[in-house]
Amino acid sequence: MTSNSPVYDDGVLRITSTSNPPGLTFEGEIDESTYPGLVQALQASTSDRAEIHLSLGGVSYCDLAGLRAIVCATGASDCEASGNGHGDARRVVLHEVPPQLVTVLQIVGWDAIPGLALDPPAVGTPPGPGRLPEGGRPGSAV
Amino acid sequence: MATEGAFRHWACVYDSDQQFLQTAVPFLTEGLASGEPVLAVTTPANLELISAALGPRGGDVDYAESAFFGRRPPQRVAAFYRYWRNNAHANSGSSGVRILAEPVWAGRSAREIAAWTRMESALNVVLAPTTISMICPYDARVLGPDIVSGALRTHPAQIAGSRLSPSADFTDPAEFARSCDTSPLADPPADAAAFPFDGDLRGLRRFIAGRAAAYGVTGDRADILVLAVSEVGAYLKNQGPGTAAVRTWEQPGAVVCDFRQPGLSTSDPFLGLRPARLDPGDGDGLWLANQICDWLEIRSGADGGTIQLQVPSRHDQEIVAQPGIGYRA
Repeated sequence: MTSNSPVYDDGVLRITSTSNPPGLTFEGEIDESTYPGLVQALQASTSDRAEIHLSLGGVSYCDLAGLRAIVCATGASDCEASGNGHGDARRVVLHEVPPQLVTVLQIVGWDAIPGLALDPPAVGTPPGPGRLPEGGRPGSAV
Repeated sequence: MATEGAFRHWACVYDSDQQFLQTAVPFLTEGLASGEPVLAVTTPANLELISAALGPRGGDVDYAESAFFGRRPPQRVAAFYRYWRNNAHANSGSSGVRILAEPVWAGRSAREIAAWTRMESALNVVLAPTTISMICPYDARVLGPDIVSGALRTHPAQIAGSRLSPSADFTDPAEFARSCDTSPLADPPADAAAFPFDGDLRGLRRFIAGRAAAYGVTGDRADILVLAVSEVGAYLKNQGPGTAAVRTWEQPGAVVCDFRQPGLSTSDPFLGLRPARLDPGDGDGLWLANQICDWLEIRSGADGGTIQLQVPSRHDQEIVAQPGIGYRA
């Protein structure tokens, strides 16, 4: 990715804007202390964009609220209260998602939000029902 | 079409295979006939009975063995909710969803039986926004009378065949939950590692990560402990100012982390059980912690509140036996 200058850096979380592809690169820890910077950067970079790429490979910690803000960059319905839901649906590609965050996404079910894509795609056993196939009704024989 | 908020929750106490089928089969087949998603979560033996009774019609029934559908009560609740969320809106609009849900009781500790019974009651509140109709079979041939009588306190009605009758013993779920939470949580041992948490979440994460390493908990499992502890810390911080005494120790089979905050007061006995959604809700972080820990218990009283969580110790072999599963869903 082509990097531009940092759009946020408080010593704990560093967010860099990227132009090709358009998006943001995150390094550091996302919790409530860095949440305002996260939301501001997401809002600034998502406006007027139909697609945004967020690189999370450098994220060493991300809480549930931060993850919600990130997936709500899709403009998914039900996101209004997060401060990111402007009703504009867009494609959000999450790159290099740390395995732990993939797990959390699957546990909370946000990996299946329309418009959200993981690169590389998530692999492994989905959480929850041990042997029940996730999603849809497989019509499996009892 | 089904109305949101139409959760129905019935107990079926049976003492023969025939009695089980007399209730289960009409429930499942009526759901299939009306095109509803139908899920059977029960014992392998009962799955076989259902399969034989339904014949080819059974091909549309989703199924799971109870032991694999939510290992612990919070995960069980989440699994029900996930099934509903993924299936109720599969067609246009919102449909009813039928779930036959038989918990596993055999071999459980008294603490676990209390937790599963508490969950049965909590389902009435936590799943209230869903359109699930749920029958919970209880096998009187193998269950102790206390478990069977518990079912009548935790389900508003009983069903036998297609006949419904209200449970006279049904107890208000909040009252029931509070009655389960009367015993205090264990005090930390004198040699527990201590951290005064004043809102510094990074400091808290450094502390617990260091303790995890000291206890030999590494990799994904250390990350899970750090995440759970940090989410609990974030919840406490949002409850208001004040310092929480955080203490952590190892006991056989588990690493325990205990938070005691003088000003903490929680009146919601279902905190941490309601599945997190995109619109934020109180206790979402506790819900996540509850999903990834072995135990998370909350006590609140006049002298403040305690939250105690527990994860497997380095001696736990379950994950070693199943590589690739870094958490225990």
